[in-house]
Amino acid sequence: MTGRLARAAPYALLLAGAGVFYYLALGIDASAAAGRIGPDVWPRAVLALLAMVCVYELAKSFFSADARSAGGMLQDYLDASMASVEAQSAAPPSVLRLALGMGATLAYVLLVDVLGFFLATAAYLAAFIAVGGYRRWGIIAACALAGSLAMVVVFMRIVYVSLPLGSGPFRALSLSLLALLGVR
Amino acid sequence: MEVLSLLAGGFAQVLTPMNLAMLAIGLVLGLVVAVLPGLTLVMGVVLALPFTYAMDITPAIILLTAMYVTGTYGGAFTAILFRVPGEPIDVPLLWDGYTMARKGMPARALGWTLIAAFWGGMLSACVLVALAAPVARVALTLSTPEYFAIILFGLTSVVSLGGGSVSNALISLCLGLLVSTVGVDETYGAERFAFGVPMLTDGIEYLLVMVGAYGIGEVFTRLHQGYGAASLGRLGGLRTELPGLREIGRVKAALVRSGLVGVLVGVVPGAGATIASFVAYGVEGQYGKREKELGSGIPEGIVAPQTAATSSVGGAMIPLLTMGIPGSGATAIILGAFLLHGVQPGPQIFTNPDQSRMAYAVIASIFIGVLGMCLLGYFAIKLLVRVLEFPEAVVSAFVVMFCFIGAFAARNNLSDLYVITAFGVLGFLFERWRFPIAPLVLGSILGPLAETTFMTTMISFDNDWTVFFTRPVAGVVMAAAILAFVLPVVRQLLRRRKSAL
Repeated sequence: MTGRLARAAPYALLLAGAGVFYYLALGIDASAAAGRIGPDVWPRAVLALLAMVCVYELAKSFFSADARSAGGMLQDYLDASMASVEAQSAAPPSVLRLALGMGATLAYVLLVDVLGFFLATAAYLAAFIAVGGYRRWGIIAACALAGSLAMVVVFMRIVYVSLPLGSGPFRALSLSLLALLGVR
Repeated sequence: MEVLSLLAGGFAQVLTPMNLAMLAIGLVLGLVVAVLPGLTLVMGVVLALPFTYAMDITPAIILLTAMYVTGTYGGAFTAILFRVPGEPIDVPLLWDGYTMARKGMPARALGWTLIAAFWGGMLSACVLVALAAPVARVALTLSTPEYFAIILFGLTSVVSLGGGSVSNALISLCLGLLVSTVGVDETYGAERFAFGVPMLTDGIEYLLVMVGAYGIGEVFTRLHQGYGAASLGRLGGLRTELPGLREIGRVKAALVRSGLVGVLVGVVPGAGATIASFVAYGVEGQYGKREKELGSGIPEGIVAPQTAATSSVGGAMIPLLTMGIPGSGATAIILGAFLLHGVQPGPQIFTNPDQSRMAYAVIASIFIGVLGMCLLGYFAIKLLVRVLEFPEAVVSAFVVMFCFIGAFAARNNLSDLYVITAFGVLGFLFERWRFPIAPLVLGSILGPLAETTFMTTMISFDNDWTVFFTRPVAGVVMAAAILAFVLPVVRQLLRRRKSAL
């Protein structure tokens, strides 16, 4: 039963989401569409299809002995390929590593506007490489600093992308660095 | 004749220093990306996109196209030599390519992939030259019902051609279509699912979905699984040994068959090089002269997937250039590059003299690119496989950064970083729950086009949905779309019936 519940969980979640969005779609302003189909029709059709597939999969999860769905045309080949590719991973799967990686990524997104691109990127590169299991600290530091600096030079001097400078003292630091690099 | 003179002009343009430099950089980057496990060719093209913002459109598209072409070839080295497929495309090469290498003929196996990639690339470029202008002329006569039918065919194909559950692919597609409805709708200007948030009112760019789900999602998946390191051992005697003309003659049927399969699969919107590679191997297993020996290390088993993978490139460029419909993940990014440079691909490209010159320069770059790719593959093989020694943790960190810069630079909007991170997490969850990512991405790309053509048809034909079936071209394509969707379900039912008997 636990297996069936685990299998059904994503579909139940998606069905609930489809229901909520279908309700929201009913509120889309369709006044401009007198006599014509309105802007709510397309998303409602998509949501109805999504809900139908979820209901089908949920029903199959609980009531069918064979819970497998119809496979795509390449199912047989992909099954064979799964068997023929050796496991290339050196380390076992780790939720902690994933959580740290995702956390570092989210922290970067939150802080890049405050710290500025150079500092935030250097910190992120170092953190992500370390989370990935690489432990040669000298190389990590070199990659982080040189990588961040190289990206600033390439994108701000050559490609002309206006990367975030940060705020407060970090902005002053970014501006000094850019002046040093000759970026205006 | 006019086409040939335009193509000659295209060659002249490619041979200018800037375009040639971008072509060379694209070839090297494409090979490197394809060799590295965890970096797919689509991700590679995504990562190169921000570098093209400051370029003119011609070198920008040449760079991305060169990466796309070589991305179908580079992974063959590691698949054959180390049993490490750099790309999903290269998995079929494990069955005969790696087996041939283990029989003591790695140089010969690499030689066959080189011949196959060269033939596939040249064939697809020739088909592109022959068909681009005529297809564009036909496309000019098509109306919205036909366009909608073609897009629907692409969407149902990506659902049915995948390897996993059709239901999951359909759910993934619906989510992609739903993402594309966020923001202000194009027909009436009504706001949908924006919740008053400015970043959502502008809509969610498909590039963000792609970069997040393919790029960051894949990095999260690899991080969760744990990075590995390939042991290259000694590479002293590593080389490529080309087969003789007589040997090539013996596999000519496989070359022709898989070349045509690659081009055809490439043309179908949504089906890319991976599908072409698997289908060609399957076709060889069904119709090849030595079908019973497949898997034992025979040249046909190497030639078929490699030829099809590379020849799918030209095929995928046909709907992109002539109708503005991307045929694969990589062409979707190339479409993004076109749009960022203010050019909408479609039949009008071939009627506008400036844009026509640019289009033929891109086509000419495929010819030169295939040649350059083979030369690089032949002479730089030892250097190329050395990139496998880069620590994956370092490569992954830089991949995330390039994804962020690519997403940010497109609109100079920091909010987009939140969006791609969210799609990165979604991409990881999709991998974990075995939902395919390609339909999500294709849904977000083709969704707006599908909705606009559907709505315009409904308005123009007084809500008469039968026009999708009564107009000859639309009717045929709609039938193909329905068939593509129904086929896997029917196949499953037949199998169950057979096993019950």
